[in-house]
Amino acid sequence: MEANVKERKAPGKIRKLLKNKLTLVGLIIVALVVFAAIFADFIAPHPSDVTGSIDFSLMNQLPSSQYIFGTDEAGRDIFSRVLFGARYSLIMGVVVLTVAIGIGVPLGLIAGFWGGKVNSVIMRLTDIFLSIPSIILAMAVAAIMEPSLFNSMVAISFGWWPWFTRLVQAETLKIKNEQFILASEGIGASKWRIAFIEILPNCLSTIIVKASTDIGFVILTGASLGFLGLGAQPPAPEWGTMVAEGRVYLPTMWWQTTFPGLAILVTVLGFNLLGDGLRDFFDVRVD
Amino acid sequence: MDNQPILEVQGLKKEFIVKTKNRGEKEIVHAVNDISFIMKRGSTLAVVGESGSGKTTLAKMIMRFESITAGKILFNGTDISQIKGKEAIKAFHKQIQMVHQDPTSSLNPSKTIRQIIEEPLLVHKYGDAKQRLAKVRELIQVVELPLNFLDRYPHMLSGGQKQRVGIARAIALDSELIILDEPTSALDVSVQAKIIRLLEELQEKYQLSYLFITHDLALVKNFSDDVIVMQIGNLVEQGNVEEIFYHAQETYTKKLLKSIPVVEPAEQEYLDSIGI
Amino acid sequence: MTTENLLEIKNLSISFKNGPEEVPTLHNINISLKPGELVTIVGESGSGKTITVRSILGLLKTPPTLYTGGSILYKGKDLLKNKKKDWREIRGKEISMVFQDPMTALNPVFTIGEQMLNVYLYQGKKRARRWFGKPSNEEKKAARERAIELLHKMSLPDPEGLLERYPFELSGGMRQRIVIALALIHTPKLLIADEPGTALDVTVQNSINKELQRLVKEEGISMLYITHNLGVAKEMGERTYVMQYGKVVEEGNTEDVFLRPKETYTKNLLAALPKLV
Repeated sequence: MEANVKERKAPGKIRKLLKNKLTLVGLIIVALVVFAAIFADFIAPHPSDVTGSIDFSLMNQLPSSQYIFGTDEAGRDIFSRVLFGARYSLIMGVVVLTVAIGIGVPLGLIAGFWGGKVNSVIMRLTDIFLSIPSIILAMAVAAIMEPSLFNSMVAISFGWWPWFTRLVQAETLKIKNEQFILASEGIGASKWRIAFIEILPNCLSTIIVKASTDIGFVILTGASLGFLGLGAQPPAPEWGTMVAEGRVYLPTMWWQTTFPGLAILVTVLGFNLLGDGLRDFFDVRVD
Repeated sequence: MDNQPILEVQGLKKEFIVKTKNRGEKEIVHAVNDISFIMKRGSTLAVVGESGSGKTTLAKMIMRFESITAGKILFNGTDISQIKGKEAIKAFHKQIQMVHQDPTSSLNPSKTIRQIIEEPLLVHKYGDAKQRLAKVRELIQVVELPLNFLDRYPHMLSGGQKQRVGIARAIALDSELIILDEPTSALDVSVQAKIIRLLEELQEKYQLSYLFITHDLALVKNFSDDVIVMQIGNLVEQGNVEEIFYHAQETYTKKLLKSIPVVEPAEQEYLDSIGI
Repeated sequence: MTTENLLEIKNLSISFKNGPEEVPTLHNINISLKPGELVTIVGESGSGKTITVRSILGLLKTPPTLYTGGSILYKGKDLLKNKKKDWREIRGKEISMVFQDPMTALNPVFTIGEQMLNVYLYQGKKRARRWFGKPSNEEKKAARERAIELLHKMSLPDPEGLLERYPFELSGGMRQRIVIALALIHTPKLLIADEPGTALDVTVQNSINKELQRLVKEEGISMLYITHNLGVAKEMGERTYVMQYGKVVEEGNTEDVFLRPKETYTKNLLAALPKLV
């Protein structure tokens, strides 16, 4: 009887996740952004403008039915560029987080489970990287290597992995005292096995929640770097770069900066809402 | 060979060094203080004590989860208190396994039942995947659970069912000695009876030896051959069940016996007959 | 002349909302308690005994709990109809509860004295006054005296010293006694003991139970004692209710229930106990 009740719970949780209106909004936004990134070639009304077809006769036009977001100083359709810009941001988010998780999570597991000197060394290293602001780090990286999308991703990843190490180390500390870990030790399982096969799956929900809220902030950081000219270089339609380019035309030709800026805002918001919803989803289930 | 005791503990000691309230002062806590006993093969030895008695520390030392301050632990004649080296310790784990107290926390919540029972087989490289699955299927039926439970997660099982999984895991490697750490204290009385019956059947079928750690004396009388009573790290009294329950010598043992809550008047009479 | 029931649970039925469905959990529970009585409720996990007593003090959250029928009469008044201010008069003052785990029932960051003072002064008061009124010296003195009186009653050594201690410095048995003392500060008429001492050693549990029995006998407190341990149940109440799957399966004088059980469930339960002889 008990087993049946539990099995019925799972679909109910997904329904609950979707019932939360804010989470639903987040999910829709994220879906739209991803859709835009994938199908930009087909949706954008003026795809050639993205690669920099310049037509000064069309420059700085107000938003109109033909150019929904208006045109910029090189006559390019801002709407099309914003759509393509989604690609840069999403790629940045996914790649940076993959690298951050790939480095941070194993380090956190090892630090938390082995403890002792290993833990001290890893956590001090983490502390060092945590104390460097990403932007400064990115600027240093850009100064050494030439600014580009790839290099900015490298720079941000450098500053992102420590958060996962901290998170996972803390979770590991909690979990390693659980009886089932003791049971595995009793069976004779090696430490590596316990850390990666027993403990890690129990951390997954926390990692996923953090990753989903972090995507938004990575995108924001990436856009900031782009704004500073340290990311994808013009004529790439990266949102941050576009905001910077249009800055000089404020406040009169407001559309050049505003629309890419809004794109950043809405995207980050969407990921944050989705991440919050995921946290509630996982929390209840862990109960 | 059959007469050799499966487990022999000689002068076992465990000391913890603890800081006291006063600055800089250190205190020695004798968690286990000079314990000696012999456990016969195929028998059930109950280790009885209240909290703080050291019975759990004793079990941990036998499982090598805790280091030994002094003394010897002989398993099948070999001194296991001194074995070192990953391979030697791994081999030893094959022979001595443990059923843990709380069925809920002793099973990894993110693993299926199949994975949980398979783990000891994987760690000790038992056969190939097919053979392991066959063994897991055999084990889950031995503990009287249906095959379709293999794909379930622990939270879908009741306490008694989880404990059966714990037992299946413990016997997976055909270990000779099973340490039962309060295997039924988290379970209802009716479930407890069934689990104990299962353990008895398994003991007979596989010639297992049980080290049964508990505080439940009524259970000890029905499910043990020999008993050792511990109090604050010391071995207060030991003997077979008959000796302890009918001819207890020590005051502490008698005190423990007299505080057993009983239902039947015959039981009450027995308790009243114990003079302190 | 029959004495009126102090507590009367009449046909109580409760369901739990699990998503869209309602799962009936308690079915027509009838339990009564006279003043000065010690009554035991015995049941295994899932029997509904904890839900039953939690509903007496209105401790169940009303979603997801649904009261689908019946009433809980205390001194003739239906507790299920209570508003917040009614509860303030009941909880701690008329009806008090002692919970299972003494380790977590006490706040680890306050001394025993502070916790007893808090209960003495602020139990049943609206939150606002808690922040506005600083206790006068007379109030503090009265609280302290009451605390010492109760700790003494619970056979605790050195009550004055105990007031300065923190929970972590004390043993489980002492903590349980303090939890009981806290429940008694405002002299409740009814004490509900929900598996007290289950988390403690048998010998300690024994003395706690004897303490509770003494309270009933000497102080005239009525008590509802809940346990899953049949041996303990036999020694506690004069009357026993046996619960299973949200129903009362058997009830009667404790002696009758344990020595001459009528229902199959009760018989099976008793049969499953490991016997000493």
